[in-house]
Amino acid sequence: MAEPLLEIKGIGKSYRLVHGHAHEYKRLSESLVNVFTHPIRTAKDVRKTKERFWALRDVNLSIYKGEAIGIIGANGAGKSTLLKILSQVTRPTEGEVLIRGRVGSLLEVGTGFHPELTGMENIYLNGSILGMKRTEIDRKFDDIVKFSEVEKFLDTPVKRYSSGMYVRLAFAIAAHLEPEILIVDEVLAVGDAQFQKKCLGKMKDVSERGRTVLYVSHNMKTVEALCDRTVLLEQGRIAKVGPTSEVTQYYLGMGGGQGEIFRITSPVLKWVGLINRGELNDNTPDQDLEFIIEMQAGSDDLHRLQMDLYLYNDKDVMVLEAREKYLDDGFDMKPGERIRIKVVFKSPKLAPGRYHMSVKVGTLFTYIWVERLDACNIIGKAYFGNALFFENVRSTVIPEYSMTVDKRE
Amino acid sequence: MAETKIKVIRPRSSRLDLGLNEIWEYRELLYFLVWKDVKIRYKQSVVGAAWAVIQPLFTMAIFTFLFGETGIVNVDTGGIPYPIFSYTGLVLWTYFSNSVNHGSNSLIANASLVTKVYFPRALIPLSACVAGLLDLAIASIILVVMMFFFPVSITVVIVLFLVPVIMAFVLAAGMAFWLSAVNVRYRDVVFLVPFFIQLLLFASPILYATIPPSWEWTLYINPLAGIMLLQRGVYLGTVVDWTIVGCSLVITIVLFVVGLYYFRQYERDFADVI
Repeated sequence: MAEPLLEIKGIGKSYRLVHGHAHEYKRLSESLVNVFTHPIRTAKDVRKTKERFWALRDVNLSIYKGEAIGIIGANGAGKSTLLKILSQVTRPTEGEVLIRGRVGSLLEVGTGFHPELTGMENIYLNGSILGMKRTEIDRKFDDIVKFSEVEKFLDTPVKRYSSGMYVRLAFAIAAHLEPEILIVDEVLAVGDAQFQKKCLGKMKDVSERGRTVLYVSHNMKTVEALCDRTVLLEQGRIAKVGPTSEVTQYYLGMGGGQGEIFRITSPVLKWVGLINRGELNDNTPDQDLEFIIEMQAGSDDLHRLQMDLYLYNDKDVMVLEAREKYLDDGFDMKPGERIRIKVVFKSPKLAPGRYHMSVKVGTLFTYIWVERLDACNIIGKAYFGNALFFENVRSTVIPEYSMTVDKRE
Repeated sequence: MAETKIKVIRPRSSRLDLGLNEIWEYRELLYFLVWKDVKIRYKQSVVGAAWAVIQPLFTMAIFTFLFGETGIVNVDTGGIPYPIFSYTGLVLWTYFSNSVNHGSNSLIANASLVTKVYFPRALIPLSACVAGLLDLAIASIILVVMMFFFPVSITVVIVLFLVPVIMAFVLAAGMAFWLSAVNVRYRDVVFLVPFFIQLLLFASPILYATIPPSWEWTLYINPLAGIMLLQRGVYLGTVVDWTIVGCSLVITIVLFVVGLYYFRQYERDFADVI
């Protein structure tokens, strides 16, 4: 067999923990004051700093030309960390990676887009940030515009774009990157269904033309459609590698994707958390489903934040969504401020089962996605009255219905 | 495949490598980053290009009021009219000040780029320093225009006008590398920088020509001093103390190399901390 395009040898990545928290930035003045006022405590802190949290460990993998590899796993399993190392955004703590070819990575759509610049200007800026040469962008310009379907708005600043147009343009640029190795992190989670299909088609096209694709996703369907081989990560280690269907079935079988009440940190917000888990036990058909999301701002003023919330059933089909427009122009947060947002779905009439949710918080241009949060468990006794029966429910919603003999001739 | 370049990702490289080759490789991206900076600034500001001139011109007006011939305190400029005397230095100081300020803030301002794509991070503070050159060029044109109105003699040395600019650029870039990297870890550095640069304005021979002999040693350790002397020498034909310029050149290069080296050491940790 030919030499692998990508050789990952014993990669590990650890973060320092201070007081049980991941390392955060400090204030110089604070650090200096601490040294003088509490010399002993500061020295202790330094020692405590040695405490490490391994986000990724002992990862070995060889990837060959033309392969499409899926990477799956729960939140915090190390998927993003692995992609970040391969994209050279962050460095590993141990191990090494050999790369034979040009790597193009898409950890986010529209990286570096500037709201004030026009669509055309952003094509050049973003293309160049993603690693394209100017002549290359010139050559592909028409294709990019055509793919994005925003021909008429090329001279409009992208701040006036709808989020759909914005995402389409961003993906169109990325789709025309032609690296030997393409790394994609769930960019398909955005955009409408039709456009997602188009994106998936484009990625399949890329891999069929002999390029290598690494694709991280929570959506087993797209992984199965696109990838030949899949890697399952669990707590920073490779739990299973093999043909995609085998690995995804194993993952779903072990209850994959079961999240927990989450708390994540990001540059935009200090943290975001789901406060209540919607439990509808023994519910009546018209009971409301309520979620409370709490978040705290970091050190910056945040303006016009928007939040989207999506609820999926255990087959990864989206069943409910709460979109930004219900918050009008969004909400503002002062540094350090903590707020709660309540989302109420009025008598959603969902079928019994486990549900997980994704939350997107941020502005149009920088946001965080939190996914696969164990959102609620609906026990649907009240709908049927017969526990035996609801095991066989296959629909996603169950409106109140009646079934009677109407006519007999 | 014809030639396959193998890239190796390792925990930390111990080599003393400033990564200048890579910066050169990514020069097109540098161009686009600069182009973005310039474009956005002009789109978002009403006065546009005028802003480049307003800053040094107003500063000049205030200091002429304070230190000019009819000012509150008369400063000896060796016969050069005070407005053009101070403006010559202020043009370059404004460039330096803006570049270091924007540069040290640049990584934080571009956090989304730092955490999402790879390219030599040094391009970010560097682009801030390059973008400022346009304003400097505009302000320098005003300087040349002023030279026709004031009784100053233009000499052939003016062809060397790029020399102090290059030195100021290298110094600003070195400072921006270092301060932007520190700023990722210690966010309050950003509040210290403007204050520190303001001090440099008074510590350098920009608003005055001579200082008491007991303080002359400061000119040797302040890299901006030599650059300012050179700037004035080029435009106004004043006598240049070459020892001071030599010291400035050495310190400038050292600060650039050390700044970039420090930056490179932490470059790949930025995404984890920012």
